[in-house]
Amino acid sequence: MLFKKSKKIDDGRSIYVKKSRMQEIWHQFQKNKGAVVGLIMLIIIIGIAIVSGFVFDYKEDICARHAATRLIKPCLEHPFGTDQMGRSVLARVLYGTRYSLLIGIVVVGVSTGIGTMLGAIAGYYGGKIETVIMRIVEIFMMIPNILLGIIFVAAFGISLTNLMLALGLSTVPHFARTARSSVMTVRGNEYVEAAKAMGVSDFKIIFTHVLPNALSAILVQATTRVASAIISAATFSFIGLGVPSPTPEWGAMLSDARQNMRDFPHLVIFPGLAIMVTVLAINLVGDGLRDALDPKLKR
Amino acid sequence: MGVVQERSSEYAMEIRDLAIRYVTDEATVYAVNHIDLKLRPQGTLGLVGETGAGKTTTVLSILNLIQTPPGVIDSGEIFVNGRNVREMTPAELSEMRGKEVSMIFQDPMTSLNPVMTVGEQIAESILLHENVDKKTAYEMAKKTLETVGIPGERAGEYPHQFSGGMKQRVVIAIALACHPNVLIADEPTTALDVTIQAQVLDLMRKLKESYHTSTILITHDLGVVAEICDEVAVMYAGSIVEIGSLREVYKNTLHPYTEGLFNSLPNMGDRASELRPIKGLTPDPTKIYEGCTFAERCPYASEECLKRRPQLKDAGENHKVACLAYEREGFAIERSRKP
Repeated sequence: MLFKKSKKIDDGRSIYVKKSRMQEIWHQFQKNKGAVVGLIMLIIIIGIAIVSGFVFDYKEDICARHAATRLIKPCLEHPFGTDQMGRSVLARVLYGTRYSLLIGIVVVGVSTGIGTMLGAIAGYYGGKIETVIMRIVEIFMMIPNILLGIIFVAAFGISLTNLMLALGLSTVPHFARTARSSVMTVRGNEYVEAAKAMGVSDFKIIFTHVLPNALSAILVQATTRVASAIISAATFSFIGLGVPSPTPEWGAMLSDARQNMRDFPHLVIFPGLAIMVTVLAINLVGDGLRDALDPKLKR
Repeated sequence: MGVVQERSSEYAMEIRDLAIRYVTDEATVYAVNHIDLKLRPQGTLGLVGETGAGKTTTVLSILNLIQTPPGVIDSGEIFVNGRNVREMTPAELSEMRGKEVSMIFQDPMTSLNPVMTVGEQIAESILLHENVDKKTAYEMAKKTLETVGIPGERAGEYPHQFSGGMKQRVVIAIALACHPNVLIADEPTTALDVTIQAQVLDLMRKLKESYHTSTILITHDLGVVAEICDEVAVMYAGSIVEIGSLREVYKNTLHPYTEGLFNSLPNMGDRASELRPIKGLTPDPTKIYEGCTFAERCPYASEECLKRRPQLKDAGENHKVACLAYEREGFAIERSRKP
């Protein structure tokens, strides 16, 4: 349905009005059932992240040791069981949502910001500027993410901020490349030339004319990168370079559970499931967005 | 210097001895070869020629929008309201673009930004050149929309909600938002169907009268030229081959190429007659020709035409032609021989 009945004209009759761009995208998005399920899951996860901050006391419920309740298997009182410190795995898994989402958003924010700017400048100006920027970006791309992260954390110390910065910087090249290629296709459009003929400055053209039109590819890339950032963060925490214990980050929880994994599998199953569900939800939404924003698949 | 400046301000826009080529690794394309163009205040100049004749390159140079590289401007001066465009600083250029000279692009479907409302796009130009705040600019944009026959309330809509003809009107509204002295229209009707073409041309003529704008109209449609131009320049392979008043060029055609253009039009009086296209193809723009660039396709060409380059020469009142055949005594092209 391209039209929706909404606008009332003067004499009270309703007329058919063409849908706005956002409505059209939403309409396409809705058709993809998986994406809708993903979106609902994601909304619930975000809800958990917000609510858990109010429900749980960080010191008491999440970090404090309780010798009496060590390593209880899942039961009615402790639905996800307890860990080697006697803490409720359920509380920690729920609270961990906050870290994973924070990491995902900050990492992607940092890399989208820097990467898109670099890519947009390279793609818009072309020539020597492009060559210099893209070669530097490609050099960074050569270094494996994990290695870059290890170097960064080794140099600046283990902390949540450093982990996010390291992951963010290592994703910059992907965004720079995506931004460059989509800016290059937009750059050739007549409205960009028209804006130049109107006397609009290059800086303004990039921000008001080029980037908004190149956004869909970047947006899709950003969504899927949130998922991979969460996985990378968990990886770093697992090898002990990420979020330090006792922070209930899912990767860190897996790492802490290593010794008791064989006898108490619930220690790894629940954080693992949490990672999986979150990543799955984000990827489903990302796929749905990609399909909804792709003009070739329209109608 | 002062004398030169004063003389050039007689015209709204003047191009002198402009030569532009595009240099790539493979070849050099000579796009514009030493042309002179003058636009009288409030006049309308039609720039006619085949695709690739250098029309767009010529007008883009007026806005100093030739991409360098690959473009190289070898010589020439361009005056807009008496000021040399090629000596302007970036700030002056940005001030001049849109305010003194503005341009209507060929395809209205692609010359509007799909993610901005049309009101915002018109207001953008006003904000840049007039000393007003955002709200006033938007109100002015609405008024501009009304002058091109679109209700002001539609300023909040996006380009995809307009039809092709309406989009072209929006493009015209953007170009006219700051009341430029010189308006360049690069094939404004090519992408439109015939009934809409008539509407757009009609609108352009009306606006020209009310805003006192001087216009350069690029087209390959001789009908459109007859409709609204008062002067015509015919371009071929980067040179002007015939230039003069509309009446002179149409009634008293001199150049064989212009004749060829007229012959390729369907004849409404005699529908059974076949079209007579110009033989051959446009010359290779990467080659430098010693003689006349049209000689190979010209039915009147002589040996001489392959050796020497014709220059624009006066041929009657307000009429110039670049053709060596007129050096021969009593020469006339077929079109002019007819009673």
